Amino acid sequence: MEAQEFDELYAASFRRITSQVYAMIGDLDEATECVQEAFARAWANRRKLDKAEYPEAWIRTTAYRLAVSRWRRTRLAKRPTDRAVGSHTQLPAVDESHVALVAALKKLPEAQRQALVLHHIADLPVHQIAAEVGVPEGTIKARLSRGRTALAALLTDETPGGLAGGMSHV
Amino acid sequence: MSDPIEKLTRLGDAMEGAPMPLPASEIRARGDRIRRRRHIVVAGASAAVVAAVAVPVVALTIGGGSDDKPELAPSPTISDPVATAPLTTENLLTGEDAVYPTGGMVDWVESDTYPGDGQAAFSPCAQQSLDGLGAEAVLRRDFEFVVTETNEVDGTNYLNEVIAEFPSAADAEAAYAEIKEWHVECLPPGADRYDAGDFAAVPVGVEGTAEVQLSTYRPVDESLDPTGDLGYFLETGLVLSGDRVAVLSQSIVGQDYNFEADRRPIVVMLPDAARQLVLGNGDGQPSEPGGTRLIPDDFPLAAGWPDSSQADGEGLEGPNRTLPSLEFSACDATFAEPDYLDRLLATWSGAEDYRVRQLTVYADAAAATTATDELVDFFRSCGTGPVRDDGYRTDYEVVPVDAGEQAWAVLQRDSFEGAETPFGSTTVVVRVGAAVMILDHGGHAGYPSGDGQAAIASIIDEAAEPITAMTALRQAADGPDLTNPAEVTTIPDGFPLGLAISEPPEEDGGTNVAGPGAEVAGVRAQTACGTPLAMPNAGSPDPEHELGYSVSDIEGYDGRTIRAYPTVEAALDEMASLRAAVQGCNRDDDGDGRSDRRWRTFSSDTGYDSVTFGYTYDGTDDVGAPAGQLYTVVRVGNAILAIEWAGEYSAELMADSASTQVQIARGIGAEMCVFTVDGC
Repeated sequence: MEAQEFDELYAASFRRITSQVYAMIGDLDEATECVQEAFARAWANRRKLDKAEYPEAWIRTTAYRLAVSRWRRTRLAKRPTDRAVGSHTQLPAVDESHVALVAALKKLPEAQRQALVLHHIADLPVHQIAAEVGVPEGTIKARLSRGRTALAALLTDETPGGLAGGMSHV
Repeated sequence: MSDPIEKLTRLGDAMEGAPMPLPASEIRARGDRIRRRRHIVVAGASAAVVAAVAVPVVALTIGGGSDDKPELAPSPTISDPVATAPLTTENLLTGEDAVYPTGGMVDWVESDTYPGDGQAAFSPCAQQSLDGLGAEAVLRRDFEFVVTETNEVDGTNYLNEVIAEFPSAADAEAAYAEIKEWHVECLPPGADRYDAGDFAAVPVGVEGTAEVQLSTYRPVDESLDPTGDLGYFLETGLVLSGDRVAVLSQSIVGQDYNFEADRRPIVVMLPDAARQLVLGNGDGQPSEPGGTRLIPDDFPLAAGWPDSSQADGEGLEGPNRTLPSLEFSACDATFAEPDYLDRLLATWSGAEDYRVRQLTVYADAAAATTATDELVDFFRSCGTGPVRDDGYRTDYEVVPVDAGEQAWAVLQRDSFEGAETPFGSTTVVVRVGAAVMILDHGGHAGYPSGDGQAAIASIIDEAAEPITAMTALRQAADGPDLTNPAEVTTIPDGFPLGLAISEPPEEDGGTNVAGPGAEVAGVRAQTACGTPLAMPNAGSPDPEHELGYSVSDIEGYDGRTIRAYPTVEAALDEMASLRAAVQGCNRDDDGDGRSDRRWRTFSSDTGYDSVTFGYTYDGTDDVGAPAGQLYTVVRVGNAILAIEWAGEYSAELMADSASTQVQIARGIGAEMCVFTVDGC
């Protein structure tokens, strides 16, 4: 992959992948830094990226893994996360409704959240999610169905005066 | 109810139009830094380092005020360190590259790295160690299966990598073929069925061969799989490149293994493993900094040297792993350095004052001793070097030094036309365990006042702190010395040898309970195919170091013996003998000429080094019920516990009973950690 091609990929997909990782982990700063680091690693491993059928998926998976790994290290060592690229980045404020949605997403089981994000935000077909996550398609369909139901209930519960009854585990 | 899908879709556009935090060029620059860290460009990097460091070390000058200053040689010079570096931990798969591609729900996390194959077999199909196949150097790294959300370790699944370097490419190729054959014809301990998958080639982007195999076997231990629905998925990756071999073994317990063929974990990891394996192996790439080290980065290698502000030159450089290694030459020959595992260097240079410290860790103390002896012998055998073009010649004198566990000084003194000169250098070699530190002083610091002993004393005194710190490296480099006398060689009071899963048996008219006691026999002698089985007691009591227990009733005999051996190595030898006897025996008779005994092994998932096996009579003489004996033998540290159950076994009943016996062994084994150096 040449520099120009990489730059185009970065320009075209950085915001999109960051949105997806943000939806998955619920922390925009962290998502931004992890996606930056994932792009840096992608450039460092560009031969590997050339072989990847879906470079975006490669970067998204790397960013997500970095985020999980940082979270784990931070939790274990109770130390600040390392800043991978440059200094702390200033990001635009996120719409309030997005914050509510991300908060609701965070309440879902990780597997359901990941399926929803990949399908409805990353716009991946079910078979591709199954390949990326490594589970059968039927499992992804079930997670999507349960996730949608649970998310709808959670978003309804956010409404003042709603009858909050907790999640229904089906 | 709001439509969550619409909101989700909008979230995907949330950042559209937002400014990019960093330009692409900065991201690429960061990527380049990562890449450089991994693959230092050899020619450029080594040349630059030589230029920077060769000046203070090589261009030592002599001549007492004369402008015509010939070089002081031979002396330690700078070599390109990356021609063919020895196998190191940097050649192992990193934690970052060890992945379980399920979207981050679980991950392989590095847990341990050590020289050798390890005490536990790296694969259930392994028939011997890679040392046994002729490898000159073997390293292993274990990984834990961690659920990322909860950070819990799932101990039922494992991943490890073993890498080995052989004397030649032909030897490596033969070993590769042998290891492959093990995985084709395999019956793991406790398995009654093994389905070998085909080996398939995997492109890895380095010169050599890489293949992967997915095999399954069962049954899974009943405690994990009470309904019998699960199996072991054993994915094995092999890499052969030059004289090196890597074996990646991953075992997953499950009902299915839902990966596309090109997304299976080992297939994904194999290119990274191959890339790591070839680092430094004549591929023009140096060892990669940043991997796991045996020498801590904060090792006080430069302690005792003057502050850089006192130097009329470069001052301190390092400690680091990028400075070029010392190269020694004498009598027109260059010292051929043995393989090592890790190395740290530091230099301090001022005007005509050149000091280098090089700390090297070898595979074990024996290898370090050999390296020290060979270096000293190299100089000793030279004695006096040839007259150089400038009329100078160098005498080499090797003298013993009182430091570390083994230390020598090599005094290199220049003479001119038979007359002594004030020029020379001093090299002190200190070994502690598997670590060797070379302290090399040249220029004014090499032969101060023309007094060799004073030079040695000064060098040793200055390096007191790093020499002391070398003792801390022993454990890291060697691992526990298995031949050391064990700390605990008696069985602790109150040891729960009579542990029972349910109600403990009580002595009554029909039940005899003996012990626990030092004089109780416990496990009785047994042979398999005529070979006595190596187990504690077993007819050779050692009351001073063992404890026995037995329960006998009309249903059978439960005998147990635990013995503490003098060393871990002795206990390992005992287990090896036992396994060798059991492994080669499928059928025999017990000498009565009436019945054949059928020997089988069972799953022995005690969490420790253990084996569970037994026999049942293949046919009876039509008198009485089928019978047999079931054994579980567990080693923890320098102690071995053997459990024998003799009763009216059918083959089916024995298979069922094995998991119960393993459970008991696991429970008692947990109390045996006192026999280990570092605990369990």
